[in-house]
Amino acid sequence: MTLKSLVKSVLFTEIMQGLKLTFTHMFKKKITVQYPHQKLELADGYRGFIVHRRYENGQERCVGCDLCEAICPAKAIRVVGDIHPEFPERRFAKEYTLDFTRCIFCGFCVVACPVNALSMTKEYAHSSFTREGLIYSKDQLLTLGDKCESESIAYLKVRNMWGAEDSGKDEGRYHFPPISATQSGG
Amino acid sequence: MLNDLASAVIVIVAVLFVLLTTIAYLTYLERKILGFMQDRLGPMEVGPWGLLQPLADGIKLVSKEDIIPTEANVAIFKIAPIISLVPAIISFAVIPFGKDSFHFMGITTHPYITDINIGILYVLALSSIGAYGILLGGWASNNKYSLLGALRSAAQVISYELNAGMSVIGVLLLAGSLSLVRVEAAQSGGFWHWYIFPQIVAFVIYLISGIAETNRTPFDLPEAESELVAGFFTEYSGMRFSLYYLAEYGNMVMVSCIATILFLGGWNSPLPFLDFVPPFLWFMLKVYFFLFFFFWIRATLPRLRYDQLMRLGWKIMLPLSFANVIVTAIVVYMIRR
Amino acid sequence: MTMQMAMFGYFGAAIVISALFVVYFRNPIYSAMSLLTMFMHIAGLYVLLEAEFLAGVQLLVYAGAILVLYLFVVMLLNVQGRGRFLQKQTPAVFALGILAAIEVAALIFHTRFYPELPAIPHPGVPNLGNTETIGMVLYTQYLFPFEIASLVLLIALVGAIVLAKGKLKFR
Repeated sequence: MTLKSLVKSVLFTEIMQGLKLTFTHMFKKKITVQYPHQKLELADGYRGFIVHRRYENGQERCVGCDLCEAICPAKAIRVVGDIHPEFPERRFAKEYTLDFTRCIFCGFCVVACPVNALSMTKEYAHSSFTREGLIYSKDQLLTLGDKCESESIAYLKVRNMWGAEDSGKDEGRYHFPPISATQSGG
Repeated sequence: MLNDLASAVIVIVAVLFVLLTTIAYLTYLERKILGFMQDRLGPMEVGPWGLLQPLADGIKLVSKEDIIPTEANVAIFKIAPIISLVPAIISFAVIPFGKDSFHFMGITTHPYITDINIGILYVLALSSIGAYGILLGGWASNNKYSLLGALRSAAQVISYELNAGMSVIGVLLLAGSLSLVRVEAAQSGGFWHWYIFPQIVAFVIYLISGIAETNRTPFDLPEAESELVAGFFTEYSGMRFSLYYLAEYGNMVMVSCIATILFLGGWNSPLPFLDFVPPFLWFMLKVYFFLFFFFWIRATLPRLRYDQLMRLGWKIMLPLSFANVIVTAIVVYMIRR
Repeated sequence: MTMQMAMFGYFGAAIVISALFVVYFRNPIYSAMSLLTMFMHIAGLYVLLEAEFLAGVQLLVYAGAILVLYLFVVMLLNVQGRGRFLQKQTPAVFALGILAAIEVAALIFHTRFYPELPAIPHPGVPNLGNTETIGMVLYTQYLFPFEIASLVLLIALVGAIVLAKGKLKFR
């Protein structure tokens, strides 16, 4: 043991350095967020609860193509597609259940969706006392989507609109216009 | 006679009230200070700035289910936390908190419960009794982690009590008395009379041994979470767990009080013109400084390995404290002659 | 006086009973606990005799260190309580026991009891504190026995180290 290291250990130099560091940290700005009283600003690409979207005229976008079910790594989505009862040239999801107890919020289903019927929102504090309470049907997803429409559009703009920025339209890679009564008639 | 009894009762009630409130709020203070040192805020929910947190914790602990493991030794399991807590609290009987006697409802009382002429010996003896609570609790739980924690704790307490006792002797030689009241009185009149300056080695040794004896980080091997779950109180829950907790914090306050009295002059003010501040406040200030130091050290240092702990205790601090006693004895003898 | 006698009676009875429990408990941990109780009551007896320093040292050394080591060993070795209670005693043990009992009785009958405890401070003892008095006596009058005792302890210390080290070397 050299003299220098002996002096160092006798005078507790290193411990003093540590104590000084912790003491200065006492007066630094705290990073704690007091969650229920104070919430963080979430980014537009935040992957919260998944919702179903509608066209401007209230038509639901989902065409029941099963792509989201196919890509879902957690097998949380179940789609039963069928022919639209009013418009025979169009399909729709007769049943659509999304099990949020299994969902891992990876966002693959939103990427897979050709008609931008799915999007993610900034909702994260949904909870339930039963398992069934977190298995959402299509109607629930649509209601949630109506509530958080601006959030879901913002998400799509950030994450899912390759090449669609220039078009200015709220559409993805494919163009599926809403079916109006005139279209189906014609 | 009646007056004596009344004064004794008043002092005991006052000391217990202050002590238990201090212990309760130490838990809050520790969480706050640790939080602040880690850039967090600590408890904030219960009451303004979380000030009612100790109350909430107390209610939770009291109302919790009391679990006794099936193969445990029930009698010893039940009595061990009490053995741990009682010495921690009754050793406060000899601590002088202030200087002058004071009046309360027409009765004159001292600022200490009793002034016995073996004060420091009494404190050391009782703190060694506290080790039984840990040892028996760990054994009675019938859990290997508890037992290992208890054995570690016993070995640690014995080793470091020796150091604490040896480091105290230097101060006692200077003061010429075992009575804590007289040790305090011998240091009156300015901070240059405090024994921290002639006994700086003993002070450092006592502080380290005190931290080790109370099982605080960086010497918290008996309850090392990463190795032993929670050490000797792994199986304890509810009220019994809180008794152990109270004992730990009571011992911390005790070590702080002793360090204050022996090395920082107790209730004496550092400078003569500061005498207008009540002695009690000086005492509290110094004790709280040591308590803060406990938390500060906890926020700073990681845990020692077991062989490092034993090496530090037996091979470094014990010879140092012996040397300190011998040097002090010679110097005191030369000066007194 | 009566208060003192009552306290003496309590401490004496507690010491005898807890000493019996030390022998009679099957569980070694219980025995150690009874021993702790006994140490504490002996300390109480010392306090009653105004020997506070002895009481403190009694607790510090016996209860605080030695008994903890006993417990330590008992727990490490996991000593079983079975077969401890009804051991077959050889007649020699009974003979020794009777001899010890006679000795104790003789001691008691030959002790000169004070009609009452000497007043404190005792006229012959300098008016110092308890600790100072013990120090004075120990380092003047009883210096030689004190040094002998320390030597005996040193020998035990060296012996323990030799035993431990020797085992290490020849293994």
